[in-house]
Amino acid sequence: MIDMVLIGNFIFLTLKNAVPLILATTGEVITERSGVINLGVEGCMIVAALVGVVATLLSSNYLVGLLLGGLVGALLALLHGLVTIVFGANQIVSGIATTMVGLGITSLLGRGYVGRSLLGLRPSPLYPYDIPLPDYLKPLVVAIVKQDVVVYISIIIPILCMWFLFKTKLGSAIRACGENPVIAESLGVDVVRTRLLAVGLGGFLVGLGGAYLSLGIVGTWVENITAGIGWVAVGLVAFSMWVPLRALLASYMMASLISLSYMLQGRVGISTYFLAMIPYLTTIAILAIVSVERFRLRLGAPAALGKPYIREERLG
Amino acid sequence: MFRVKVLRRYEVSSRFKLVTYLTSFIVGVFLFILFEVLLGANPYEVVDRLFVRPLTSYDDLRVSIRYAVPIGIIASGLLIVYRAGIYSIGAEGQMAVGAVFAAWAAYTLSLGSPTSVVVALLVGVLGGIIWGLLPATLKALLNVNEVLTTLMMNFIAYSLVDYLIYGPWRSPKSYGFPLTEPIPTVFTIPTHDGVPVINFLVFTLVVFLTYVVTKMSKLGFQIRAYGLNPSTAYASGMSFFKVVLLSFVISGALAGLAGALQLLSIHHRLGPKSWSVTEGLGYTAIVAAWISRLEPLAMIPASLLMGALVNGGLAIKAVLGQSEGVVNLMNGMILLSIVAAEFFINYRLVIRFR
Amino acid sequence: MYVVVNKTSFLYGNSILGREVVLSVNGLSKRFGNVVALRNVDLELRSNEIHVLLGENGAGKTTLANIIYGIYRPDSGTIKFFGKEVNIRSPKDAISYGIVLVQQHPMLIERMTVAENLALGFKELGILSSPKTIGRVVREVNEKYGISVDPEVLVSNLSFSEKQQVELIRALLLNVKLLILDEPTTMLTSYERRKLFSILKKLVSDGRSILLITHKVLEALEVSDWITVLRRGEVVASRPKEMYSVDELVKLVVGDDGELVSSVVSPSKSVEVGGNVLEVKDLIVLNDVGGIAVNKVSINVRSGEIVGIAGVTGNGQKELSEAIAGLRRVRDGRILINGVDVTNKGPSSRFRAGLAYIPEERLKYGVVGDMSVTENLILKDYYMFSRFTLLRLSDAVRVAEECIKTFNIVTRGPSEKVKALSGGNIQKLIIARELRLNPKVVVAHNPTLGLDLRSTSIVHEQLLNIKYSGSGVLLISEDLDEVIKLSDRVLVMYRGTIVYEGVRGCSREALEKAMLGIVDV
Repeated sequence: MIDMVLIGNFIFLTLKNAVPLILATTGEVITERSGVINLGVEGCMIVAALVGVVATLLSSNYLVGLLLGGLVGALLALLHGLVTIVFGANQIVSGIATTMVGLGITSLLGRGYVGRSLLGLRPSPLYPYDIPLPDYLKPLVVAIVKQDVVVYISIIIPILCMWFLFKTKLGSAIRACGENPVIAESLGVDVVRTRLLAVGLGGFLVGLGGAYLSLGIVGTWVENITAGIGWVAVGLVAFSMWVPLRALLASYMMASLISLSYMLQGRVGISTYFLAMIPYLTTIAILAIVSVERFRLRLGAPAALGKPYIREERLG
Repeated sequence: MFRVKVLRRYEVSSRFKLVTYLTSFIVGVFLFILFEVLLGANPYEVVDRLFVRPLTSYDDLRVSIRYAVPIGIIASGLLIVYRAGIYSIGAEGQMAVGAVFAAWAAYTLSLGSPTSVVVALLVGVLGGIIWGLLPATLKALLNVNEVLTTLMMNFIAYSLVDYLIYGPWRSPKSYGFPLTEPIPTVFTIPTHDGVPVINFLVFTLVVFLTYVVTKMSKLGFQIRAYGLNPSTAYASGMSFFKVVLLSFVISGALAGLAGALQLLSIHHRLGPKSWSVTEGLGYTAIVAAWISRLEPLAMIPASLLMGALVNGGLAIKAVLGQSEGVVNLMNGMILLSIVAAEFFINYRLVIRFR
Repeated sequence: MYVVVNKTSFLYGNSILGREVVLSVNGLSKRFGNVVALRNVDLELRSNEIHVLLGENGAGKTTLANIIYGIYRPDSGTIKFFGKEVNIRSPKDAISYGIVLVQQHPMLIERMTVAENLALGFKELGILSSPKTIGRVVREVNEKYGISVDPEVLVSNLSFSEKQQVELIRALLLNVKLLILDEPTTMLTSYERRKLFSILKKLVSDGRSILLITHKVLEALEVSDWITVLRRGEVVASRPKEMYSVDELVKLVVGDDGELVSSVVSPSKSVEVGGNVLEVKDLIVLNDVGGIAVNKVSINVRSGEIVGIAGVTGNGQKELSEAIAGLRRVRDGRILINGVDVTNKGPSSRFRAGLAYIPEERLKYGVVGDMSVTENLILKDYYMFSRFTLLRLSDAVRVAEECIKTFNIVTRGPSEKVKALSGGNIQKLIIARELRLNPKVVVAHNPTLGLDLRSTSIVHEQLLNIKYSGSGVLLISEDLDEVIKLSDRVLVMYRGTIVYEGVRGCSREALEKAMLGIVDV
């Protein structure tokens, strides 16, 4: 007999764990579509995670925590954006530096909050009532229905972003900046401003994901709470070929692997530590898959990704 | 309102570059100090701990050198990959695995000294190389983004070390604390007064070799071509595969060497994050590599500087009761400032008020 | 209506009295460093007028256009637009006045649709509105001016001529009053050119003005109402079209250097033709989006001959050239250099077999800008300059100095960074480097693109020298004149296949038609 409870748990965990991935990956998709790589995602997420906890404690409302987390994520991303877009600095090094800053700051500021309980302030299930269903159906339905509102929002956001990127003028402008900023500028797009917008918007979504990590999933603040999930998201961006809907699918795929590795702990003979390697190994694998020319997946990449754009005045 | 014009500079004197760079470095440190002050620290204390003591007091200078050596060795390897345009950030993991391999050699082999040390070091080098091989091959064959792959390898390395220290290599004498047995004395590298002189000699040798390779060898020429214009380099028949693989091997080897040296001379055992052999130096080395502007000769002062800063940072952490994040934050601020400085080196801002 | 009394009043009747002066340029001068680009230029442009700016490459036409469009600022002189003096500081300024410049190469985002591209600059469209709504406007414009562009098509699927038309639509959406076109016909077939001109005529009949820049005399006579001739930065003539004869016009354009242009480095020597140095058999190469760019092409080049491939850019030449050089994988077919099969082996296998490559994109594939002249010259055989596995640049410097002298490369010295060199000198450097290796076959792709006359003739001379020395040359060029001038055999490439083969002296008209895909069997 299939253990429905187990499957129900698995689905529940996966839907929940996917949220930070979905939000961060979608956010970074928007950023990278404008031609900017933000490797500071990990830093943005962890800063947002801390701010989320603190803001929730202060305001007694997790929505405030989420929003402020998003804002802080956007701010840190904009710092990276300032250095790379306005100053034309090397995007990769700047992103790494931003992550370092984020990790450092949260480590310092978060000391007082380690393990602080968020009793009652965490996101709660949208449907708090009991579900009168037979045992073989109940766990499945519970897994889907008893999620908090953020989980549902995290499904809607990539869909919204699809519309935004591909059906609106601003979305076209963002994509144009990522394809060829010089031509975009000549066609009337303010590349600097548009890129900053994309970075900020992406950073906001990343921040939302980070805040949910501490508020919704872990339930408190611990040091190094992200454990590389931000980096995994960056890898997922390429895997989803810079398309938000695919980012949704890719995130669920990764989240299911992570949930699987949690649930296997202690049950199977493999040590916890090796199970913990799963997300990282998977990320490497999918990056390899994406790069195989046969799949022509590389075609999705914004052509000008990673290259700085300086609006120069010609001498003369 | 004012109007800002951006003009490209065509001729930049070395002196100007140096000045701009130093200024940006100072700005980065200043921002860090500012942050500390905002956290409630006394600015004089911060500057004192950060700069003055690590470079002046004999005690602190020893510790600074102790940090500078592994930083310098790793950063020399990093500057080779960075010159090729390969952004590997896997030094931390390669260092850890180098230490693991060296520890394995120490625990399992029985050799006389000094052979034992040499063998352990070589094994450590091998460990570092192996750890870099996966990202290297993926990049060489498929051009997979090396930033993410090397970083993932770092996380996997942490898990590997955790597995070993909580599992098979756990020392029964450590009262539940995850530490391994100390390595047999025959494998240790003696320090003089706490200063790892032998390591320092190794460091100078490495810098010399790096200089030779980057400036004078055929590989160095190819690396430079790929770093400056990969499409032309490829079109000219230079092998992408060879350049990528060799640079990764060199940087992995050096990171592994540093890890092994750390284990054998200073730590003598493997432990979890806060007692780790790596001490986050793999990341600090990245900053050192960029500070030295990828010039081997500048590596000596750059690593000394970073060594002093790490020393200072950790001192601040201890004295002011903060956490390890200090070093990370400092690294990040400095790196950001340096990276932003490139702009001022390449372009000139003209601000007109109207 | 004016009665024709004499030729002059007929001409001036319609032009001066009926039309408003749109653009008035007075005493414009511009120099770049030591080079004087424009000297005291006066120009007057009226409404309903197609005004051609005629001159050789380097005469200053593009500079003048760039000044009017705000890309450069003049050193002296004034510009008046509709009678008011204006100070155009940037293209954005120019556009706000109603001046739009259409460059030689379409500035459009390939991976987006026509509508999306056009929507980017369309202020009236809200940031969250759908670009598709512009489609309606586009269709209206299409109808009115005889343009046929589907707004929902991806730009990458358009032909060059269609992309140009999108640029025209864009200008119309920007409410253009003065449209500047920079060398619009270089990549058009005759048919497409005539279509363009008919669109332009419709555009001016609505009251707009067009400033058309070209170096082609016959075209100028075909489409213009007024022609201004620029030579060496100065206006040498400015009259209504009817007041020129062809010969007079050519003389004005070329001046006393007539010899330079007509002193065609005509292939004079005859060379013995030998065996195949390059063989391409049934080659199939894919383009960047997975489509077939080169479709079962077979070519052979023998020693002592120059084989030219003519064709409008975009018909597979880039992919063919990259495949032969080893920069692009081949889906099917074989490539043999001197009998050695190098199919799908990297670039180094090519040189070892005796191939030299002069790429179209010099800065991307040809040189490393931040490296010195010396280093660039030994880019392919640096390992020959080593002793005890270390590189000795001092030996290379000697070689560099020789090359600089032999090929007349203008540079401050062997250690100067290549990015400081002009386009022509970079090309000379590339040729010098490739020839140093004594290749058996040279593949040159658009070798004179963007070069001034002097450098162009030097490059042509070099290519002929290669032939005389017994090697073979495959010349792929979008410049039909160049191909005709240099080639012993001419092939025409269209949509990825060779549609025509001819020998020296064959009919130019046949070639042009073949470039359009029209082949008489």
